[in-house]
Amino acid sequence: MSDQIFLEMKDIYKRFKGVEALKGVSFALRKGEVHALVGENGAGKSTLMKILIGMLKADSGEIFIEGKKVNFTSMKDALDRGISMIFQEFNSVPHMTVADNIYLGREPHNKYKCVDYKKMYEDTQAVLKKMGVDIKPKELVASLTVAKVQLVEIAKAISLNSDVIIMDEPTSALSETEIDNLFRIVRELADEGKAIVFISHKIDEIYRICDRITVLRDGNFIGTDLVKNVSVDRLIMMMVDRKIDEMYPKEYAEIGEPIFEVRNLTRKGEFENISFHLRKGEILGIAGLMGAGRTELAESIFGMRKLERGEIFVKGKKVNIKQPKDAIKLGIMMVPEDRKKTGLILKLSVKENILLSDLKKCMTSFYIKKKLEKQNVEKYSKILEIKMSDENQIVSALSGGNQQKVVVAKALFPDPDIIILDEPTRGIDVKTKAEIHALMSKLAKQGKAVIMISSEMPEILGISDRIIVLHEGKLTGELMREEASQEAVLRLAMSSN
Amino acid sequence: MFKGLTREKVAHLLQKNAILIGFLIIVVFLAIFTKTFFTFNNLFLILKQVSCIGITTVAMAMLIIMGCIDLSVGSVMAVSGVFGALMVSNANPDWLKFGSSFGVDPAVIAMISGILMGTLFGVFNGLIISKGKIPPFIVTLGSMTIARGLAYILSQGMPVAKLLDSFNSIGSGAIVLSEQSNLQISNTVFFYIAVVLLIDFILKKRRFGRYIYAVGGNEVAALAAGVNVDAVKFKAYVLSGTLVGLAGILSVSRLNSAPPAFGNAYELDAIAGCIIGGISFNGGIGSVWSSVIGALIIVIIQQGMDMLDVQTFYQQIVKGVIIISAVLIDRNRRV
Repeated sequence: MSDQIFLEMKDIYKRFKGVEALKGVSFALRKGEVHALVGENGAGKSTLMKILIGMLKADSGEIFIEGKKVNFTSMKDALDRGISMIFQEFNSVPHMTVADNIYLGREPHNKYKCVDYKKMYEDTQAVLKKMGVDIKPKELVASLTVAKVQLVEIAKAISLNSDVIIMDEPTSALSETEIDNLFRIVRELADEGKAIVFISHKIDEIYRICDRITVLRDGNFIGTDLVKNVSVDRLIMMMVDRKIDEMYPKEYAEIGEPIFEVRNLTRKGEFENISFHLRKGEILGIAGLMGAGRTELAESIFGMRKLERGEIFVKGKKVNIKQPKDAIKLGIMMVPEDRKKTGLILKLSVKENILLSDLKKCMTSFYIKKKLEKQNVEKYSKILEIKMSDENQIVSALSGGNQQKVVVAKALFPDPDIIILDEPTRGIDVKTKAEIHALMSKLAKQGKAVIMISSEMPEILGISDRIIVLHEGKLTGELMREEASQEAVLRLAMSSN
Repeated sequence: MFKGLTREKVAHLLQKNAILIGFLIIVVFLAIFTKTFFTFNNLFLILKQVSCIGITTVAMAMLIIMGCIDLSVGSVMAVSGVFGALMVSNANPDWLKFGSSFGVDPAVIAMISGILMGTLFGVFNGLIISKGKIPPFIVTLGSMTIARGLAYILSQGMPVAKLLDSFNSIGSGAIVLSEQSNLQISNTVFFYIAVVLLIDFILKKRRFGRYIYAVGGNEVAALAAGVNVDAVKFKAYVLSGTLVGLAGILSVSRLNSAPPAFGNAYELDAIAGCIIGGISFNGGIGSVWSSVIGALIIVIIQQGMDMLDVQTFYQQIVKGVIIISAVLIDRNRRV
């Protein structure tokens, strides 16, 4: 890390429709550093970075690059000055190849003024090779896993040769090995003299990879310091202004009779011969690496995908689930992995989203009653402490954590017995995370059976009563809470026997 | 009362109601620059003119909100009108005999058969779209030509004419408010109002209506929330087909004749009405009232330009400009 400041944002203010998102935030980057930008959802991290890349305009404040004042009016301006950002929601074109995506908008020309595919593929190959990832330039992005699409985004930033690369939660969709790989790449880039901004909710990662850290809270600048000078406790204090004693408030619920069982569930190429059972009051963790088939398994149980083989039993009775509607009727509900794609209807209101899963509860014999709607939304937004202006607020206007709470509220609304949560805390702030963990424990205590898919090891170990592990679509083992450890889970997740 | 009405809020209100404001500006403009526009007579005339295409626009609105489309509405109006008219046509004794064989006024049979023809096409479109998983644009492009062909076959290429008076009186009839000033409300207007209120109720107050918004907003999320997406789509197309059948048979009854070529390009007017009214083409956003405003704007502008002696060729250009600007305004409103 050099001592000289490369880029500086000074006293940035930004308001949205009367809400102050940034209140005089300053931020400085040095070459060769990995700089963590942390804060709860809604703290202003994304807004600050969007201003840096020219996507938003600050109300006041200045940006300097190497001491010279700059004024970005578009993302292209910022890109031309060597600043690129890798978004949480990727900006790739699915039906184009990896190389097409990396060179989108700046395709190399040959002497006939046509696209020089040969060069494009070679250059892409070189970048991917340097990153040490197994992706081919001619692969279609649509055929890649989420993790690989993200790596393509990173490859794009590298290929742009940017001085500043902003990564917004880059590891949220990656497996442990992929994270290791990413961190190696990030370190190499920093050593080459690039400045990396690393937005993350995962505290262990910040300590692993970052040199300096800047904390924001409610649009305020709280502080910048060397990571090694900040203890975890102090960091959390800075972020939330209160101590969170326990991220994983595990309460022991009485584990009752079996309520749910699956036998030999199979979808070729996704998962094979999966059998497990679940008891009342139990939280079953499903661990595994990306691509292990966990989401596919959950979606098949819930009726979003068609099972090729296998049987599902609810309360001892064999059931036939053709679509999610059938599953909900049987008392099974799911919180999907991707809240924007599957979890929410972003254009609609909080009310419409939450109540969609069981509108009958708000009906008289003939029509939907406003009063019942209001009562129900109030009840569930209270349970989950959803922060909203009113029940008619459009969901897309909520922060990520609150959006996730809406998804969970929708899942709880039909009062299910069996709840499947797929990555329930991905990309949400520490406080909401702890709240959702507490909620899972509470549900188990009420006698509900919970299945939780998670890629975060502390979460799996901290919350589950029992853990099953998948590897490449096969069930490789089962661990009770007492015998589970990071190593044990990882061993099962990586081996095939 | 104006306390707290900051400049920002006013701007926001203006933006939010831009289409309604545009509509009012057009009305005020016509009221000032023409002598006849702002009269009760003309008001009821406009309502009469908007009613049949208005019913079709309501049906279209429901589908566009659901993220779908129906290109066949114009042709289905024609085939419904032709089929219904056959039951009451003195020029087609065989059909008339059939229409009279139920022991009720054949006009009733004509109405029912016209509506059912629309329902039938709704079932056809709905089944293929929901079960066959083919994009609505393609399916209804096909059924558009099928319906038109069927209209020509049933009518043998000629307008179905010489319709019974009892049938004609349904669409041509009116409730007279004042004899001297010839003030009357056409029967079709009451059909239109009934359809608007019914569909508005369904969209706002019935589960099916809520599901239409959900499917249009995000089909996968709707499925995951337990909505039977296929069933919702099927039902919506059946309902929409039925409404289009009603619009078709009403039009014919108003015209006193059923030409097989009628309703040509009505699908475009219906779509334009929805878009001008502010219904999002991406689905999930809009209401029946948007379609009412949109349909009214189209009719009023057409009529206003007639009054101002604007040539029909120029009228087309103006209509196009309005469609595009309505969407531009709407886009700015959402960004």
